[in-house]
Amino acid sequence: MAMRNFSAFFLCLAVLVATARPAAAVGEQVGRIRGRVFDAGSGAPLRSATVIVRSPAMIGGARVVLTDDKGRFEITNLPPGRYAVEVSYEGTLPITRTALVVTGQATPMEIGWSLEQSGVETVAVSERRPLTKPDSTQTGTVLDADVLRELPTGRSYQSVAQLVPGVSGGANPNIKGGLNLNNRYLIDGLDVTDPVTQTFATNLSFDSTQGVDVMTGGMEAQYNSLAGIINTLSLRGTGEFHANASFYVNHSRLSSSGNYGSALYDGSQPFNDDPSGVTQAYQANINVGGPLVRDRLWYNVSYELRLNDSSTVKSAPLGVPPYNIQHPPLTSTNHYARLHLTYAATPSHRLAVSAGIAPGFFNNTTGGNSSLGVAETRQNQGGIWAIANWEWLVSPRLTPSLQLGFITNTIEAGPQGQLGSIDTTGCEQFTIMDNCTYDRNQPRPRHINTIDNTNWYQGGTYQLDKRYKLQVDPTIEVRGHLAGTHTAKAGLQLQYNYRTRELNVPGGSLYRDRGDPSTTLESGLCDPTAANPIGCYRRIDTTPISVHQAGLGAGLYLQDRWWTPLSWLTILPGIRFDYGRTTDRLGREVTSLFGIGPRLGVTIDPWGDARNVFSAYYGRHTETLSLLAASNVDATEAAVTVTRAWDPVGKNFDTILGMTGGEGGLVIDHDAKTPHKDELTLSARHAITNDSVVGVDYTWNRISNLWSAVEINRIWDPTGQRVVGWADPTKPDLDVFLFTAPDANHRTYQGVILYGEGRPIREAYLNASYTLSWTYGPALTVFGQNTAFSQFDNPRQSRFYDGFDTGEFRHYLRLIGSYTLFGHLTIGGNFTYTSGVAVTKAFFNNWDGTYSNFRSPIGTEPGSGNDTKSISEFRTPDQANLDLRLVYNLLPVRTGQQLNIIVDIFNALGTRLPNAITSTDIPTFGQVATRQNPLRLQLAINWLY
Amino acid sequence: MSVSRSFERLVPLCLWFVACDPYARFGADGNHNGPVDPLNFPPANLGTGGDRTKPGAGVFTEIRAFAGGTEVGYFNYPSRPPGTAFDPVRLRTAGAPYAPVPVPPAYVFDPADSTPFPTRSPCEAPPGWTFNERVDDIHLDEQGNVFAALPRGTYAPGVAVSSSYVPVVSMVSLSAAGQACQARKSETQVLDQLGLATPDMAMASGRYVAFMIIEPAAAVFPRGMTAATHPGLGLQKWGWYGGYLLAYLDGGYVPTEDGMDTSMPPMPVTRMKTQRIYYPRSMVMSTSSTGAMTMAAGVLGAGYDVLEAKRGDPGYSPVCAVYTYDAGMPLPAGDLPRDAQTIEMMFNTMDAPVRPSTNPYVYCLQVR
Repeated sequence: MAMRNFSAFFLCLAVLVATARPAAAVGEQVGRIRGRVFDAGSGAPLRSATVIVRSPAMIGGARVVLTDDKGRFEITNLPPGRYAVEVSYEGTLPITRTALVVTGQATPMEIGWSLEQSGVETVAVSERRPLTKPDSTQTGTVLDADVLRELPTGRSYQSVAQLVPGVSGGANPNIKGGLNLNNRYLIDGLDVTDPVTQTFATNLSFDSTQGVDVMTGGMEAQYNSLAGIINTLSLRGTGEFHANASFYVNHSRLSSSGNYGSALYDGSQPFNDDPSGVTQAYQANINVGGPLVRDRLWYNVSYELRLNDSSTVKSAPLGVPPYNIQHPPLTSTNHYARLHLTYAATPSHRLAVSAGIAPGFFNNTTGGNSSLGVAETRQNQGGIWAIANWEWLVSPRLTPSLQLGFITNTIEAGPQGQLGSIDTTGCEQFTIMDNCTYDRNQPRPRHINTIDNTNWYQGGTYQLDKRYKLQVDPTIEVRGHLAGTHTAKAGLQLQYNYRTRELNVPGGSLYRDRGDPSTTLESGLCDPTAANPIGCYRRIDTTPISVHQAGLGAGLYLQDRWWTPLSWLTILPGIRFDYGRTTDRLGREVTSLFGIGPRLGVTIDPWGDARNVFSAYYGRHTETLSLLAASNVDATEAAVTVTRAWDPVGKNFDTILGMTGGEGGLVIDHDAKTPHKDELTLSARHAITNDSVVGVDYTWNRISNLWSAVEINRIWDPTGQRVVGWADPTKPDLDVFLFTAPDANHRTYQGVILYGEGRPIREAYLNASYTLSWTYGPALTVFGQNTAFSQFDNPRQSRFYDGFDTGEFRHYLRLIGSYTLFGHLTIGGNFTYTSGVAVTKAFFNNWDGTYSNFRSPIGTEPGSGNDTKSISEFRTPDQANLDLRLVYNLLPVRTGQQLNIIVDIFNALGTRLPNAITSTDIPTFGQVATRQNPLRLQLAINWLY
Repeated sequence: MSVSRSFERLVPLCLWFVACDPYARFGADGNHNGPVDPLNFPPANLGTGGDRTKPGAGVFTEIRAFAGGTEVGYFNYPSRPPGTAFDPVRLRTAGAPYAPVPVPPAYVFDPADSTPFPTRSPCEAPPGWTFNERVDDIHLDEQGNVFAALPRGTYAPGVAVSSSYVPVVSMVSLSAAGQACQARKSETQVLDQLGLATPDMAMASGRYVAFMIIEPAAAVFPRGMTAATHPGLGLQKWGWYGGYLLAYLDGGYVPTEDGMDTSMPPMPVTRMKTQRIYYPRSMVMSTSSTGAMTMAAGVLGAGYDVLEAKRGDPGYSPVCAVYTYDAGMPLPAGDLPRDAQTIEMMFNTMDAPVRPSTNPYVYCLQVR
């Protein structure tokens, strides 16, 4: 029977391997303790000492190993938490140390044993943390819940990633030069990266976060990411009952308010009494966990409710006199629920199941000051995720495991009037045709006045998008001795992705209107039926689509952690093989990519005490599974978009200016190279105390062959402003895209990070870093996901796509820390200072009808023009921000409970520095587009048991 | 070695690795920096419908005319009217450049005697290169001429745009033989190769060429063509200014004549030799699109102008002295005279051609 089960298992595995495509990563959910026991007097290694670890975090009882000939031991697969480590010989009493185990890292222990000491219950004053990573080349930081509780954060796993050196950007960050589409997001080992957009696909209750492991480089073969990996672990039950509940209030009256202009020098406007927007938020959380069956079945369950209002700061054109219209706030309601179960049927079998839902509803998602509420959009989203992880501790030498995961996510987005109700603020200012109504049965087309970029009548495209992902990851870990100690791991990472999408344009068309420069706002809108139409310029008609894509992937990795006979040297070789295949709505193959990812890491611990560690790493990461190409195939081919030009003589839009999509609208390069990243990282780390480290990292990343759509049919005039012909005369007026991964689509990052982290004293946590980095190269986007245009839209423009990346921060200083006074009051802070982000000035393209042309390289503006000496780097102003947190515990420590009053002060300096500048060649060029959010207080009460 | 010493040594090593400048290429000699920005171009250089902030909006259309009874075409460019102290066609006074008519140098490669272009450029094209109109914006088997100045208008609120630009350059003749084609793209680069720090007018050939710089994205249509029938490419030439791609219309060599001015004492001057261009000041009959007959006084550039000489003829000049004539009666455009000789012979006896005082000169570049 058992044999039949195994046969079925391997048969399933074989089928999956044959049909699947490579998954990107399976997150480590455990850590390990690695150490050495030696004679305290002579320093000689002690073999066959018994090492026992225990923790309330570890289900199934204690784990026991013996030291080897060199006195070394390693205990793996330890859930994160605090551990007691006992060392003894038969007939003697043990000595004990404590250690903190965090995800994915080795906690080093050097234990000097003596007969005199044994029997004395020695508990280290400060526990060892794995900060110097003596057997890892990985860069990044693990932020555990204890630290996060003391710091002001955005209370999401995405926002805390920003605390880590090498990370910049927003919720989908740029990690060491990677695009925000190149990261991997894991929750409890489940790859929750969206299969299409490669962004995070679900949220998680923040108080249920046990830790966030932000990996920025130097990763072993089990990981595969062109940028970083954000590996979040949710709280799991323990052998003890724990609960926490909190309520956060961020009322608008707790925030500084004011109206701010768009000039750099503008500040508050003391005589402007017009109401400004409300930005506020509320959160309620509860989290309960403990044993259901002692040492057998543990649980943890959590729920979080989030209510948010976020208002745009008023600015031109509608937010300034004479209009002073406050754009409707973005309002959202989110529910995050999660359950985690841990089951140990026997001491050697563990099963963990984690599942969650995260529905959310968002009104007025576009924001800005260029539209009334009627031209807004609404989004409903949500989904379910679940993962089961079975682990079999066969022996100290062998641990097979299996993960099965599933996630589905739905996004419905469309005009606010279609999916919700419209905020009519400011409508009375305008007169044209019932500007603030939306007829669901007969919606009017959306109009954009390109003179001032204002949007009218409705919010545009409707789409219903559903994504599904199935993940299977069998792994086997083997430990043994062969010229040293080996911890080898092999695994398969299998993934199946599926996506359906419906898309239509309510009203059928999009108008891009442009009259003379004085015809701004509604006066510049096109009404083709008027006797003397003004503003009519372009009309874009798009057919509705209903499509689906699928992807299968398989990855095989082999890695070893070889603690060589030279006890100061650990070598980490690895390799992974990935294959992925995607298909479009017709089942046609879009991509079929194979990638090989060799890895080689070396760590040197010259004195063998894990206090000074040097490491070097080379690795290649590949991306073989993404539905983005197939999605774009369907979006391009199934949706026919016709751009029509206004004929002022005939007073019609009969002139077809260009067309995309439809039959013959694209060519797929089936020989495209696999997108990949080559990484070189050098590190040095020095432990100042048992619990703090300083270090320096240097990283060189080159990300190559990112996917793009290369337009191949237009023949541009030498200036790239007019299309003067078509390469294929049988396809006049039709844009034809070659979907490929060109050699020219690359980006490079180089950066040096100086950092210090840890708890130099028990009461304080400090994490300080300075990053000096450069990101450059022409690859700004993948299929236009994060910029509207690319080097491949117009070959005359490609010369400008080589410079510092838009989004590059040159200098990034972070000072993060906390200090606890009197055991009750904790003060936490997060200060950041960054140089401005690189921007590029964009000019009007006559053919496109948009600001899609550059006149100088990316990251610059051309100045007075026609003289390269007048080209200057173009950056937003430098940014500085200080967030503070005060936590006061009302209960005595002896109760084992905490009742915390929390005060968060965001932007405590009250600065209103511009963080975005208008970069298009319009009259407001160079003015402030957005500023920092003002000073904001958040009050909370938090009970921990 | 202490740990702090280790770090001290490691940091400079890291910094050495990160040395990089992605902009090093851009702006370097010989780099193609993209098209010229027409932001400061006078309206006449932007074309009909041109917008200096939105390149590609303007259009230049060849004007239909006649010379010796044959249909020809020309592109016009306004000339500033003469004043008491301003001679719009003077180039030099006593051997020195005449400041009111700025004629900057242009570096012209391998000009022929009859035209400022070679039959075939002697420069070296990349091996195996063939022109791919989708990928290539310039021809790598020729060397574009290099300009030293751009047209510039003065834009100020409430004031008409003013400019001293004239579509004539002083030719500095060079050869691209033995050099990579399109290797030279700026005056600085040319001067560097010549070993000069600043332009030396002694290099000038003494010949002048009518090169009218235009907004590079503007469409240029042969007469009778529109955007619906023609891509707007082909008549303009491509050259360089400061590494930027520049478009211009070639009106050929400008003949000159020496004389004396009217100052006391008289000074020797060099002036552009003009040819005459005629249009009727009498009524011209035309039929509207609805079939109705209309009459209006003739205007310059309406399709019935008459030039003395077409390009290549001995009397050709891209600078025209404007004359009007009276046909004696309203005539349909098709019945108007088509050669200068007829106008001088027939209409001179009836009503002598006269020069309009407001605009007695116009640049009239025949580009083919």
